[in-house]
Amino acid sequence: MKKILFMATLFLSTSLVMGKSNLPRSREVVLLESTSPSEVMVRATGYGIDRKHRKPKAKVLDKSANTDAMKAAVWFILLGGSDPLIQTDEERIAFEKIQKEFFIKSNIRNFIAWEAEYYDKRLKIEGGKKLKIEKTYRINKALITESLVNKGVLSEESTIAGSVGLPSIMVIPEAKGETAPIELLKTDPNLKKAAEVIESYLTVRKYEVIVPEQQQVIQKLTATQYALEGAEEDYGYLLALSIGSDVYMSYNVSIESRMLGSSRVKKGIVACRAYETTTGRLLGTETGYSHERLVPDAVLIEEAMNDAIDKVLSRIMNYWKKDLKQGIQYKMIVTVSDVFNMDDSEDIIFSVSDVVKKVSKTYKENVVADYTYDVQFWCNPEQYRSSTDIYRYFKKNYKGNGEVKKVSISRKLILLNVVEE
Amino acid sequence: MISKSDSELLPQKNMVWIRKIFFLIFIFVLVSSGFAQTGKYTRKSISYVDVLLVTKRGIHLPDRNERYFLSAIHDGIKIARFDYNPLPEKVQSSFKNSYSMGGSYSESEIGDLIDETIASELIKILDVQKEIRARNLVTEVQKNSFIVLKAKEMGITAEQLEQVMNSSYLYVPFLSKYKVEKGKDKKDEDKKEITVSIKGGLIWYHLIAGDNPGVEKIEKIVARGEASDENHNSAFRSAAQTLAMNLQVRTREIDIFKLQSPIAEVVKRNIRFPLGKAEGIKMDEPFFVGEWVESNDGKIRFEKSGFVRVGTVTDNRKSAGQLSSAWAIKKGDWVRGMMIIEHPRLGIDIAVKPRWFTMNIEEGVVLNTDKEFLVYFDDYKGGAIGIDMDIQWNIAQFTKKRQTFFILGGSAGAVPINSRIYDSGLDLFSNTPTINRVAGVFHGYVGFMKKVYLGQFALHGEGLAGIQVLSIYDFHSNDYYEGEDVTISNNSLGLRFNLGLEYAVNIDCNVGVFAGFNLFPPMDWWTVKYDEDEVDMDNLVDWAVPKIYSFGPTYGFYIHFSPPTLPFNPVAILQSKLKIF
Repeated sequence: MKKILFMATLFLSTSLVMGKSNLPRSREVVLLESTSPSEVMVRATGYGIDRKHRKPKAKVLDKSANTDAMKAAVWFILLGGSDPLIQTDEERIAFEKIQKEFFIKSNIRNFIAWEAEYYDKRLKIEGGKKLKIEKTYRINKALITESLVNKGVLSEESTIAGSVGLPSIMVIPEAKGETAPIELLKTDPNLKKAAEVIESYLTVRKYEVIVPEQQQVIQKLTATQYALEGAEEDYGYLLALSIGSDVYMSYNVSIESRMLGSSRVKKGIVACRAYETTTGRLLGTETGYSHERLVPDAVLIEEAMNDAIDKVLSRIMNYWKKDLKQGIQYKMIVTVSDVFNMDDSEDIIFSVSDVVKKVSKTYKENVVADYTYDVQFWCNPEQYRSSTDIYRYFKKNYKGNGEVKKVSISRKLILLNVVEE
Repeated sequence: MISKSDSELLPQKNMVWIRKIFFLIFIFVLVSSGFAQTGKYTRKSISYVDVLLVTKRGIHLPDRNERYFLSAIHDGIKIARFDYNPLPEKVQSSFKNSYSMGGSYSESEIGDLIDETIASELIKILDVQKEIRARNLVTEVQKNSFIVLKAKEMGITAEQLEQVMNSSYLYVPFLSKYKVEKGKDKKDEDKKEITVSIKGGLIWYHLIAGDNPGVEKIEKIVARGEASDENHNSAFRSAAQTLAMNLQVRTREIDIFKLQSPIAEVVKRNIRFPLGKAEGIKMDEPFFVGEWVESNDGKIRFEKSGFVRVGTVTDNRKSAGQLSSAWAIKKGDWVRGMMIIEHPRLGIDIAVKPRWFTMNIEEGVVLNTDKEFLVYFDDYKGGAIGIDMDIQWNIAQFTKKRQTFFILGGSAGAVPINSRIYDSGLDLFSNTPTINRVAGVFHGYVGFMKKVYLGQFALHGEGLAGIQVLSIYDFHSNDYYEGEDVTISNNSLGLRFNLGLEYAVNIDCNVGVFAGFNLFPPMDWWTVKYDEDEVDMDNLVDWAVPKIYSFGPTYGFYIHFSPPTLPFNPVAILQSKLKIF
């Protein structure tokens, strides 16, 4: 009995609270595409109710359903889907404090860049008491982000990154067979176009983008990599390491076509993957599709790429936010000269490891071989602003046999050699 | 307390519940799939089999008429809302061969024959799509070369193969009745006019592509056509045209082919919607307005809340998104986003008008010695009652004015006048004439009508020009007519004007009252009709001519109905009437 009473009270209070809430009734939203760097297109469901009239009025139901769909669309950007803007518990708590005023219709309307003229679906439900609509909206995600930053819910991306800034991203097509990706960029106009779209998308969002246009010097790196046990050839990975991007993205493009009536319509399909440069770990993979259109391939690629890249970028930012909490990540490969015997080499690696412990906030050893040491570590950006600073620290603080010599230093990768003095 | 065995069972129980929930969700998705039909009409791709199936033994059409019949049907079904992809000859040939060998088939046999011949050929083509997917042929070059290869295997061109792959619907025409009548009894033996009655239709199939391609019968539609002419071929062709006209409406009545669209704007009693010339809508066409409602038992139905007629038609063939407009006749609680759904009609209404009208006769005599008639009419001043039957053909698409109609009609009535017919010297000598106490009054007319709607009420005005015929009958007449029945008539050409007030009871039916004025002056124009022949008859007594005229008011009731089909073709009727004049 007590349980029933408790449940009834809980239900009543919940419904009272919910009744007064201006949060969307519907949470049914589907992401359709990312139309531009700052906007996404969604299809949102809205439920319309009319509490004032015994027989619901069409206008009231329609207005109520429209408002609900609009709120649901914005809610989806904030909290729904796989890549919402609000992700951490702190952000969620901060948003709950302002959500009532945020979901005021006049405020929500500011973020609607465009709304469809017609409903995708419209159905009266519950015997005609409620109205369910589905409508397509284009939401200005950038404006929502800006608004949340102003309200203190989100930190500005530059603040997240602090002095380090946003991650630098290398973009490269997926290579199949023997052709190098840089060659593909030169020969395949579709891949070139896709690279341009990504470049444009990322630069609008103030990311540093690197599209390698010429053959990079990665032979040294390749040789070092081959020295590691179990290392595989991955052109993109090696290239990213040599360039020193934080993240690298690979992509492929295909155009499908079919006859529709007497016209041949085409559809662009783009797959986009993001990797952590230091480890080659997959951060996110997404496929983007264009609509079937009777337009040049470039337009389809742009549409499909916009669809894919926005989702991937969100994963990159998640990774970046978490990673930056630990500091700036570096990968270091130290090779010990074979003039040392195995025991000496082990001591040398231990000494190097000691320095790593001192210089880093945290670290992860990837491979410890007889003459090679592959490690990832995170440093305080305020103390060590660049890889050269770290190299300098190593040079100064290394206490083992031999002497530390630089092989190659890029933004993310430090290749060192320990040689006889 | 949960025992160990209970706790082990829990995940299983949960799984059962999860499965049940998923099953319910699946059922819900299936039920709500009807929701998909709530959007705007999308163009359909149509193919047809160019063979006429005869579903009744004993029907033999001459080749020329069969071809004409097929052309009439294909032309009738060729409407703006469809794209057309004719079936390749190779696909049809096996069907044609089997069909020509087997003679006539019943409907179920035809279904089997289609499954065995055309469907199997079409499935082969639809399988190509499946194979393309299975082989993972993603690039255009790969797909094209595969299609070309497959087309060669099947003996058709790559273009034809793609056309079939893109077609969604297919129809097969059939003929189930073909009757020719010249005369039913002895009296009709000499009748020159031949009446052809035909009944036929279309069997519609849906070509299902995807992983399980197939051909599914969706609907069989039937229509009739009837026409009369002295020439058998002309009568048949006119009947075929009528049947094709009716089949077009029956096709538009099929749910998947009905035009529908969301309302873009509601301003007072006017609505705007994104359909136009591309979909073939015409001014004054009726549409229901309503919305899709899911009832408590999960069924989705269209709930009508009024109806409109198209006011302006936009040309959206080149630039999509333009809006046509319609005005409400019966208006409900409407709002943007609700739906309009086509109510296919011929655009030809039938009106029935019982009425009273003025009829005057001034005493007089008609004498014709050749035909041996002396007819005497008494004075009469008063009214007559009759009933009009009008065909109201909506001509708004030609006049570009809403609610304008071409009227073709006739009426039959009776007037209580006394007349005496002396058809022999003996009658005259013995004063034993044939006495008529009632005369028939007939009208035939053409004219123009304009309606103006004020909500569900409408005012109409019409002007008609025609002929008035007052007839009396001489039963068992003189030797000249071999003792047969003869009709003697007085004719007058004149005008009539009506003003009416109607009420739209529903989308198809209006009722109302009207008042008008008859202007049929007296004319000394007499005819005598014997059997099928009607000839003019001179009146030799020009100093005592009876004056028969209708010059005065007329009042009546009005019922009009918009039928979905008609068994006759009013245009053909008009043509034959014009021949008479």
